[in-house]
Amino acid sequence: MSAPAARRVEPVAEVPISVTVNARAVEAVVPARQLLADFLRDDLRLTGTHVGCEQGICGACTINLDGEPVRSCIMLAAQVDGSSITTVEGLASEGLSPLQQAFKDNHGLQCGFCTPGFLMTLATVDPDEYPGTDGIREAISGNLCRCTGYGGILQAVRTAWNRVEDG
Amino acid sequence: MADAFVLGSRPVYTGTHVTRRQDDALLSGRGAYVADLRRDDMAEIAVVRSTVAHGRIAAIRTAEAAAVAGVIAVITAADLTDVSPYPNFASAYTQTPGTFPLAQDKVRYVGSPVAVVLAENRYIAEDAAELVEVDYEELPAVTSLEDALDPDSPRLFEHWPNNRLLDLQPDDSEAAAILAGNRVLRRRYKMGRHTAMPMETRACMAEVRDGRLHLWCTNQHAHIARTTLSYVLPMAERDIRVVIPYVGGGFGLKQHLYPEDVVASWLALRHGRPVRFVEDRAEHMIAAAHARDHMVDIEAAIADDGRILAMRVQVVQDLGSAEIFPGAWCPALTTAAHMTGPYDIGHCAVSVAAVATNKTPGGSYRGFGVPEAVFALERFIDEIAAEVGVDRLDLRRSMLLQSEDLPYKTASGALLDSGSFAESFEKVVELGEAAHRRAAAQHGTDQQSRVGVGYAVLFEGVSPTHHGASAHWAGHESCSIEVLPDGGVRVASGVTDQGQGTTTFVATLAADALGVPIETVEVELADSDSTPYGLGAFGSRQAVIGGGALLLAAGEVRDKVKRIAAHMLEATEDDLVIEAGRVHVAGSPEPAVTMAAIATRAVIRTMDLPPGMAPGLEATARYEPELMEHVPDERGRINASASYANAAHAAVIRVDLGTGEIEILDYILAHDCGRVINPPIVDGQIWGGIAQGVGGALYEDLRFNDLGQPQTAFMDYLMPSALEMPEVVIKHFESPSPNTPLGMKGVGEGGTVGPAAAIGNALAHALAEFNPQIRETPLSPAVVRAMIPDRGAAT
Amino acid sequence: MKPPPFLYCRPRAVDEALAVLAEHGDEARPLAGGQSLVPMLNHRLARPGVLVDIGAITELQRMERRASDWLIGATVTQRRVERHSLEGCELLSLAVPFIGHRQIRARGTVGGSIAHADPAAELPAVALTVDATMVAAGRDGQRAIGASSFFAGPYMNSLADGEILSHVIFPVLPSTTRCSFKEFARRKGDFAVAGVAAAVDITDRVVSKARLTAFAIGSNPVRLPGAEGAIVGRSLDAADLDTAAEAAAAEIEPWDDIHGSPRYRRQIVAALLQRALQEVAP
Ligand SMILES: Cc1cc2nc3c(=O)[nH]c(=O)nc-3n(C[C@H](O)[C@H](O)[C@H](O)COP(=O)(O)OP(=O)(O)OC[C@H]3O[C@@H](n4cnc5c(N)ncnc54)[C@H](O)[C@@H]3O)c2cc1C
Ligand code: FES
Ligand code: FES
Repeated sequence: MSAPAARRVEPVAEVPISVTVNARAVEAVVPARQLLADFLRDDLRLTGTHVGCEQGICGACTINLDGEPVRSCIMLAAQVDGSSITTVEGLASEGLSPLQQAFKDNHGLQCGFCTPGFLMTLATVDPDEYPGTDGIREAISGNLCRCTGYGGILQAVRTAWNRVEDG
Repeated sequence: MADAFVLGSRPVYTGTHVTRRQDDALLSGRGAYVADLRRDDMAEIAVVRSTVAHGRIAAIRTAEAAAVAGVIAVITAADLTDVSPYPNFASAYTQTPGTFPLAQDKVRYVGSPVAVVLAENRYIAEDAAELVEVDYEELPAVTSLEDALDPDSPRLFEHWPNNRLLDLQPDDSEAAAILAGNRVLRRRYKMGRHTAMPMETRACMAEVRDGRLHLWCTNQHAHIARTTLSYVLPMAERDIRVVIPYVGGGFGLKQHLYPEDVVASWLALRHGRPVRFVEDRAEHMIAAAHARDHMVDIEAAIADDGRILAMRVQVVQDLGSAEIFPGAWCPALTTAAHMTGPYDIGHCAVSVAAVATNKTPGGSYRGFGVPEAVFALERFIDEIAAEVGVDRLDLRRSMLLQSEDLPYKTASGALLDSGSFAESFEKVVELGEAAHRRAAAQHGTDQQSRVGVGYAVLFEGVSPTHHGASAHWAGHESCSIEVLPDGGVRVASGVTDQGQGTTTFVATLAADALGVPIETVEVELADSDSTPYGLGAFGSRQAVIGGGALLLAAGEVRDKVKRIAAHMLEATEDDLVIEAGRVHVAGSPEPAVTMAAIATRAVIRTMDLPPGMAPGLEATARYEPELMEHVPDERGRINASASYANAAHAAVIRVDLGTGEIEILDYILAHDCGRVINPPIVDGQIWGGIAQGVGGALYEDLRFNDLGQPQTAFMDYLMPSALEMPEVVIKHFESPSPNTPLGMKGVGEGGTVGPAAAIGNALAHALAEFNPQIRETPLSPAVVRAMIPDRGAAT
Repeated sequence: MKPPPFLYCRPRAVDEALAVLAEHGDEARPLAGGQSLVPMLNHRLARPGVLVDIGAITELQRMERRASDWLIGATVTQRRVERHSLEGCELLSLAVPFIGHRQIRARGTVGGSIAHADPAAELPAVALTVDATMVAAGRDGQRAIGASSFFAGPYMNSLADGEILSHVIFPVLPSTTRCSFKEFARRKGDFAVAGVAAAVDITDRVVSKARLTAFAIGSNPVRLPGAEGAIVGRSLDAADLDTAAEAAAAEIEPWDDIHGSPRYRRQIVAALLQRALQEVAP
């Protein structure tokens, strides 16, 4: 390829990023290896994003990144430069959102450790893509809960998503 | 039960869905778990763990790690000169592992902590931990319970005569005599190794303030943890405070006081900086307690109609390396205590062995020995029915305890004072058979699959003594109640909350027992500085025993409230009722005095109290159930629990003949935990318990190879997701216990203990044409597929 | 489980990325969605000195229907593929939902999955079945690598040092081709214990051409020539399905892990192939 010489990109150990978190603009310099979950929890003190496995499996660390639910434990903070993030702290400007309220009313949480991950998945996806109770199961299948057996969670989502069948 | 345990005049919360007080915080990300705590000058640790299953430590080199920028210290067992090994209070009948927080000269499992790096943060601590070099002289590993029973197997502990930590052989002559004169059936059942796997790993943060050690940790017992730390560190108990903030699930795994709790405390004391440990999931897989891993051998004398006349049972539990505190042999004893099930089986002699192997130490996990007993016994009954040619349901009916049999003392010593064994069984049979008919109609023509239904009936001891596990603590719980001058109430109790709703339960009972609005009740749990000594969470005890202590304390306060109110209203105490924070004569709401007015008089305007009455409006009470026994008799019989809940399970499954996969189509459970305090919380406990039971029955499997290397990474540890969990139908029976406060029994474990048995029996039913041997869990697809002949898929 | 230290950069153009890769040799490694690489970093199973984040390079995000194929850029996310209707590329659409979970697919890329060459991954099996072409970009330009030679063992590909996967070309299959994708995983979203992909051309109610692949059974996905031969010219009746299943079970050399022995994997490949063929049968 005889294209003009490429812009030289220098790999660095400390990466400047600007990112919007819960509608707030954040500028930071992060270590290249810092996990996004640790950036949110340690640097921004948004400890509602929980860490249960650091390998993408449990879903506790799920956040909304540019409109998609993603795992913050297997992303680098450096990768979110220019993005917009919502965490559980940003779900409601005050009080509880209808989804959160439905979790409360239907006993959708016990220890609550998995809960922010479920909420962020559910608040981010389009309910129409997940019809019926089977759809809800599919939507939350990437989030593990060890306490509830999912009964209360399914009931909460049926309530929040106005689904009356078999519940 | 004595009248001491009563709710107030007009209970309004008990038995209803009181929403949980912590939910607002948890739902908006404001609940602080241990890993969410931080201090500006905090340091973090990473643990160097053994990579071999069995070996002598020849050398540990830490210099390179210590030189990494940001590393504060690297320590090994040799540095902990002032630390004592964990105590063993059971030395009269067990061997002593002499567990030390860091490996001293031997390692006995992959994951055993060998050295600890303290650094500015976890990233640096992990960098340095990789640089610690440990030389091992490897020894042959003992990796199965069968090997450990072999007297010639290499010994884990040189000072033990063999690898048996515990070996109890009670007199079985009665059972033996009956076996000798009857048809005998023998079977061996095994339950694999799986564990609690809470979504939050273990964590702790130790901080020294004013010379006292403050430890925030994920342990299930603030006071037991404090006492244990005081033994091990060793340090005056008054100088230690243990606080348990929000905990992301415990399920028994967090009952143990782990080495990292001790080492973090030691480092905080030594270096004067707050020290945090947050276990990562890879560590959790090998260093947090495993569970189950039992073998149950049954020999039974069988009548012509299949009834069990007598049983001789040998329970063997694989303890892993046994280096854990409190010790982990108690599930095997609990298996023994549940071997008769809720059946009229007159003779049952159980011997128990608990053996050490080069695997992660076993510990406690919801169910605690009962799933093992239920799986073995309920599979055995189905096998008897098949062998003798009787109906498996009728065989159960012929042995099940009826209400008129109660109270009944089982051959193992459990006092069943109430229950709905036969009724709950008939209910699930009715629903289970109907569900099976539906499934058969829907899938009957499918050549690729088979459907089946299976049942399990069980009782489970709830509110047990702690003595079985620790040989030290017994079974009481505590509660303090104080009414403040404005009428608000502070309740402090030794119970703890890992998500079960304990806080809500305490508030509910306190509000009803005192007749005040629940919003005016403040609950304080799990801080050893501000709560009275209690034993915390284990064995579904908190409602019964914690509730008992609360009702006793509330009763005292209530009596005094009435005496003061009687004086103020010029009425007699017996005519008074307390409701919504006001006291008035029954039937006439006015005049009334408020709780605030009464409390103000009790603690401020004490000169206005009735003559001779002492100031104050508070009480502290402790409750220890009288019938709970702590030590078995010479035949090994013991009534170790304050109460017994019961349940019946039915599973309708579909088996894919091509892949061996089991799909649960319907799951039905009838449950009896006596008086229900909060229905959705009870249902939540049941659903959650079933999910864990299903996980153990079908999916979860902690495997080791012949070298003792763990084979199951987190990604292979298959906890059910919402797609694997069936909808559950729950039917409630309420048989209040005459021997517990309000007739309550615990609910925490009933869902967990039955699924392996019910699903195993359903599988036997579904695959009856292939005559499968279903005697081990987990029933993974590969295991199930091996039961099906290759042509089976096509026939 | 924290990553070891490394340097990081985020080039905007392929050339920039290639320059960094060239400069740092085998110390450097591309980072796409990170859904495999970051877990490996957290486990410290990977220790690159330099991570070259190719996530901001727009050239790699193209997704185009061309005359007779689909061009899919290496960093097109699996989620984007899932949402797109890929006419003529049905097998890809059938396979993508089996990849992990929604949250994984939101970040995981087509190129990352293929480059990573996980033996249990779906996309390599699809690529092999439909004869996709992997286009590598290097400092000397681009080169095409056929699916049958791209996968070079478990977690190994045949990209040269300093090359990245630029895009993948999936041929559009004729409307007479029927596809089926079956996998058996312990839970939905887990990596497969074994799986089967089928693209079968049916002419006059008999099989005129068959492309069958098994995956998650060994180092890389494999075509099943024995089973393919067994069904060409057949109408796929019950006996044909049995014969094909037996041939497949006999011709694979499955490996052993905690989820299944070789014998078990043979059994499920046989069962899955029967089901796949049932689905495509005329
Ligand atoms: C919980 C979980 C479940 C999963 N389940 C599945 C599953 O069921 N099936 C499945 O297939 N996958 C699964 N994955 C993996 C997922 O699909 C990954 O997205 C995919 O394997 C890698 O894509 P990536 O874009 O994330 O690549 P990365 O993780 O960024 O990179 C993976 C490797 O490929 C290299 N690489 C990436 N892009 C290029 C390129 N363009 N050129 C050269 N080299 C490149 C990287 O250097 C690295 O070595 C799962 C992952 C997780 C965390
Ligand atoms: S912590 Fe991110 S998925 Fe488990
Ligand atoms: S509520 Fe405890 S893990 Fe879900």
